[in-house]
Amino acid sequence: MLRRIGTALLLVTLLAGVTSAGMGLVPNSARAYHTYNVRLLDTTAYSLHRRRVRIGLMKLSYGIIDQLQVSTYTMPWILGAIFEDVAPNLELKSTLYNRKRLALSVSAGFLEGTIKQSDKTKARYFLIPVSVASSVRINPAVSTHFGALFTAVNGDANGGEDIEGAVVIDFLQLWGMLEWRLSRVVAFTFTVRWVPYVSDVVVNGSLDTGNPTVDLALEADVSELQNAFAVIPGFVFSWDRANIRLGVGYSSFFVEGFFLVVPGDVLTNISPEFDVFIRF
Amino acid sequence: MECSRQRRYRRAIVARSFSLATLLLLCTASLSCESLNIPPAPDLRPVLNAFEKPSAVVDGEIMGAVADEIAEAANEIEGSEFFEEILAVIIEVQQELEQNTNENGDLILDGTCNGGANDGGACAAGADADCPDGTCVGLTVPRPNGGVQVNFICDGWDERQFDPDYEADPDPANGTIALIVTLDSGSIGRVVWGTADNCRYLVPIEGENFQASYDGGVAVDLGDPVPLDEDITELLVTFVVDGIIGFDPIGVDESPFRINQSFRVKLADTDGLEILVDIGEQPLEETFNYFFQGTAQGLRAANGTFGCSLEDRECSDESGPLFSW
Repeated sequence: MLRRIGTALLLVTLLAGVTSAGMGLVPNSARAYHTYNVRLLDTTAYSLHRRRVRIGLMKLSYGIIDQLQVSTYTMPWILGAIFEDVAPNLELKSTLYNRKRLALSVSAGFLEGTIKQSDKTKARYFLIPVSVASSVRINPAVSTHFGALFTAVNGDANGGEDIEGAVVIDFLQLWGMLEWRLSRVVAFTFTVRWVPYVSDVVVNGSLDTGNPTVDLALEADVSELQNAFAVIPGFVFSWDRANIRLGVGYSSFFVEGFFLVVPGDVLTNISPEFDVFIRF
Repeated sequence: MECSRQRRYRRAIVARSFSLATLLLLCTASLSCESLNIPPAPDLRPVLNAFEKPSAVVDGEIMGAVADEIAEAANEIEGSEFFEEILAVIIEVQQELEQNTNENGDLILDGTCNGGANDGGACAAGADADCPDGTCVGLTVPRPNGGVQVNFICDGWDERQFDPDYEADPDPANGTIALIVTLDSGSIGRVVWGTADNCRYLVPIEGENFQASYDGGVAVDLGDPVPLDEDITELLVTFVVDGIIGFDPIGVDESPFRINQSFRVKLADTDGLEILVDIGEQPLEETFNYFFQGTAQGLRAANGTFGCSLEDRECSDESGPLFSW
């Protein structure tokens, strides 16, 4: 276990190192700062321009063309490494429309992983997040961003003595963000996230009890996740190369990369937001 | 200029293609909007209403027509105890669910100890969780709703089943009981239903084991949703059965008894039985209840509640005999 954690820490350190090194090694042509062309990518409708790269603690992205960006979240890889099975994930985001003051985007991706529950049992999960977003530039300093994210989760467990079956849950998240550029370095953000819809969890499985055999088709009540929300004030600092996103908010924690929501009472209603990244 | 236009066109095509792919993914995602596939429970309310509000006015003529049927049905039901076989399966499922449910009412499947002396070992999340100083974790289904399909292979007629050291392999040749048990926020739903397929079992009576069987449909009303820790044997349970009872208590090769009957029993009260007697032209049009309680018998009808005796062929109240047949 200690070895696994050590490996994971090494990975984090390496990534942080690469990120930090990038801050110093990227050529001067690197583009950052809050400018007309360089905009926030997360929680907005904007994507990286062609051949632009973003390397961060939380996410790696590359602009394939001006309208299409491919990303992968780092945490599923890192946490997957800790639990002996990495979680491949990919997200494609397309800014379909970006004229005048309005930008519109769609994105879709997948996350797939395995959780080893015991020596004999593995639980697999497969997530398909699909989102739409819009960004409106009210004036050069102020923008608003709105979006919706639908996440479909499929999971199954097998190999155990007690359960073989599948789990399904779908949920919808809406968000809105106000972005106020205080200077070319500092932008204030105010993000509101809300989960208006969560399907019941459907579990199809079987209990291996010998005689009688018991096959389950269950719905779990996860209504406490319905109407989960977070209000997160934060800042995005953008220098020549480096960027830092920091925020601490109230209520539920929306886990980036896993597309999931942790109810507020689990983390004493602290909803953090953090990333360090470079763009070039 | 032309080249630049073509490039823009190609990019636009790629972007539009991607949005189409997104739509496709949306459709794929919607496939995961799975719902439960549980057949609807039979509607037992008319039967329950009939038990609660007997509509028939009973007199000697009516009793004369149905007394023998009542006596025979009571003998077969009480003698064969097939309802005990059904309730035993329900109780076993209840216990299995209780063993895997934690104190919050969440069902924990494939439990594994997290921490403590039994870290990594298998566990059940119930009160007997074998996780000293640890927690039993697993696939958690919070306050589950839904259905449980139960398939039980009957015990058969081999008397060695009563030997505590004998471990019998379930043999499908002994018949099966297939039930659907619903879950209502973690409790067992009030209606359980299914079929018995030529289920064979032994009935011990005064030191002897008698061969019995049941083949047919069954629906059970438990009265209310039953929490996992509630004793089902203490509940007044309503049965609606339509099948064939095979029971031969005296060694005579009797023909199987065809039963299409509703009745009520309390498992802990072995002397109690209440039969719904349907005398109308249409089902449940005119009904009354005939009950057995120890040595006492009686009926509840629209014209009152009386003590009766099928053996003496008469009913009476406190004032004396009312009618006979």
